[in-house]
Amino acid sequence: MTWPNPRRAAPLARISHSALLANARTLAVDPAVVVDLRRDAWGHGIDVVAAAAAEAGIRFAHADPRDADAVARVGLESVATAPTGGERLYGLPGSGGTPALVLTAPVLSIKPLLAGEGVSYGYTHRAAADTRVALISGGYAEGVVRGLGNRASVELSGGLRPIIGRVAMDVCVIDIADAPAEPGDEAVYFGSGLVRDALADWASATGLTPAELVCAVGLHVEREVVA
Amino acid sequence: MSAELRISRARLAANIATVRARVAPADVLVVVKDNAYGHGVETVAAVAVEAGIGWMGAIDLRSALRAKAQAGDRARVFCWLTLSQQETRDALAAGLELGVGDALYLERIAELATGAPAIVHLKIDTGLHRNGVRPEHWPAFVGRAAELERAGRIRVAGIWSHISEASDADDDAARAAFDAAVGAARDAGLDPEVRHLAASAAGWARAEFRYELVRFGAFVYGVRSADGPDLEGIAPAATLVARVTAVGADQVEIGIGSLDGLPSTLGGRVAVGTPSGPRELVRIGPGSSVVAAWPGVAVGDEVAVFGPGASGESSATTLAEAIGTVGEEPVLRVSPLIPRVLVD
Repeated sequence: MTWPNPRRAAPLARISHSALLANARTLAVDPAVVVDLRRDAWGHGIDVVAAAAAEAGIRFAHADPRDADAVARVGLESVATAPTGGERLYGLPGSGGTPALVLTAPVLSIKPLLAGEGVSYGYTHRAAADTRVALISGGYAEGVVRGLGNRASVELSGGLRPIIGRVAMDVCVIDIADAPAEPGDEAVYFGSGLVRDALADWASATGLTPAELVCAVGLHVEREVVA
Repeated sequence: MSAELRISRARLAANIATVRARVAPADVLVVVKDNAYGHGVETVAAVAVEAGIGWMGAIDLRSALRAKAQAGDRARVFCWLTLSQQETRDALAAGLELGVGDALYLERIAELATGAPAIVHLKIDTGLHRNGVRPEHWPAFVGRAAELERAGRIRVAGIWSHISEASDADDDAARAAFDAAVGAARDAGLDPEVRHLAASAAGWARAEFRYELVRFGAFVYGVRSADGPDLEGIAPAATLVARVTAVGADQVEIGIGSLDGLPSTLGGRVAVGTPSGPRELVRIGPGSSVVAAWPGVAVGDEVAVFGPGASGESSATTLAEAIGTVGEEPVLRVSPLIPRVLVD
């Protein structure tokens, strides 16, 4: 019996060191720049972000007191000055930077959804025609905002798949039609490929800022640093 | 950042006592998913076990494992995410019971259960169309489960589902589908100990949805249903507190912001609690927020963002209603970096 899920069932945030370094280098052209490392580096993880900033030649950082040691360890100077350029450092939409956090989640199960059938709490979506749906992990406990139901898409199997029905606390449902997907395949919420800048859609659907959206995700899900 | 999330164990215990009395003789399963709705699994599990609660559950494995470690043999713990292979091994080794809403997952669990039978709760899809086996696939599913049970690989302890709460009529239809599924499972030779269909709202309001077991999450934490009434004997167990960090003429700054999980859309829409009662939450920045001032305000004064109302603050549900969501969401968004402090 093969097991579909590659490693884990919960969502995973991949933090790209190379994206952070490239973004930090564009900030380092200003020798006085103060990078924004508040709140565990906006949920990206203080150690990887501080290291990338120092490697890029940045000298000053604004971080929470709990992270003072991590900042000092890489040779950055902690200052109280207001930080700038967080959107660029973390590669948020419109900043000109490369996204540093990719939010992924495995497909947990796939099943038919027949014309007229409702999905998730309150049945806010009903299938217009027979289709197939996938359950993926990720819900508002992980920062996938409840208000994104019927208003955002994920990437799976090379296409955009809409989130249908209400986002629940830990899972949501996507319409995959006839896409060749299987349990264990990886869906991407934002940060790469077709959904590289999907945080902009999240922001317009919810009224929340890209900074608070990415920070909530990064603080609540497990993170993995990649090159 | 000066904020903290204060947790009242006495309030948790009182809420648990209220829901138990409400649904008796049905049992209560205390839902501890997502770090017990951010309140701390160990804290909540200890209160639940002390109260004599025999069931806990979480969709996420991490919370379920922590609850089981806290409770030991004093409570059965149910985990209902479709897990990976290693996660399933870990779950079975820890003595968790597994929620199964997918035929392939059932086979994989049975294959791993080489010692004692894996204890499972089979999920019928009664209309929500998330996990759960569709009714047309259910007879084959419970037939296979009965085979695996006879072979000693699994034991079917429960039949369960989630309902949509779209309307009472939709929920009645879901309950009829649930009863039919239980009948089919019994016809296949299964003998489940517990049926569980309802969560807080339906379990509270509708006796016919209680069966042997009701899963209570929101009401244990005192989170009222959005657009629902306050309930006698249920009140918020958590108070989100921030301190004044700067004082201006008409406004003050408090040390909590949107990077701490306070949705910036609440700015200008709600009030928070202060030593002088409710004051407008004017604006929410990344690391701090602005509140309308009160007489005699000083740096270090405490402001309650949400809580039971002791200083005029609103409940999390009232905040949520101002931005079109449910009370659970602002509670769950509170940053894990904010310390949880037990006050009793």
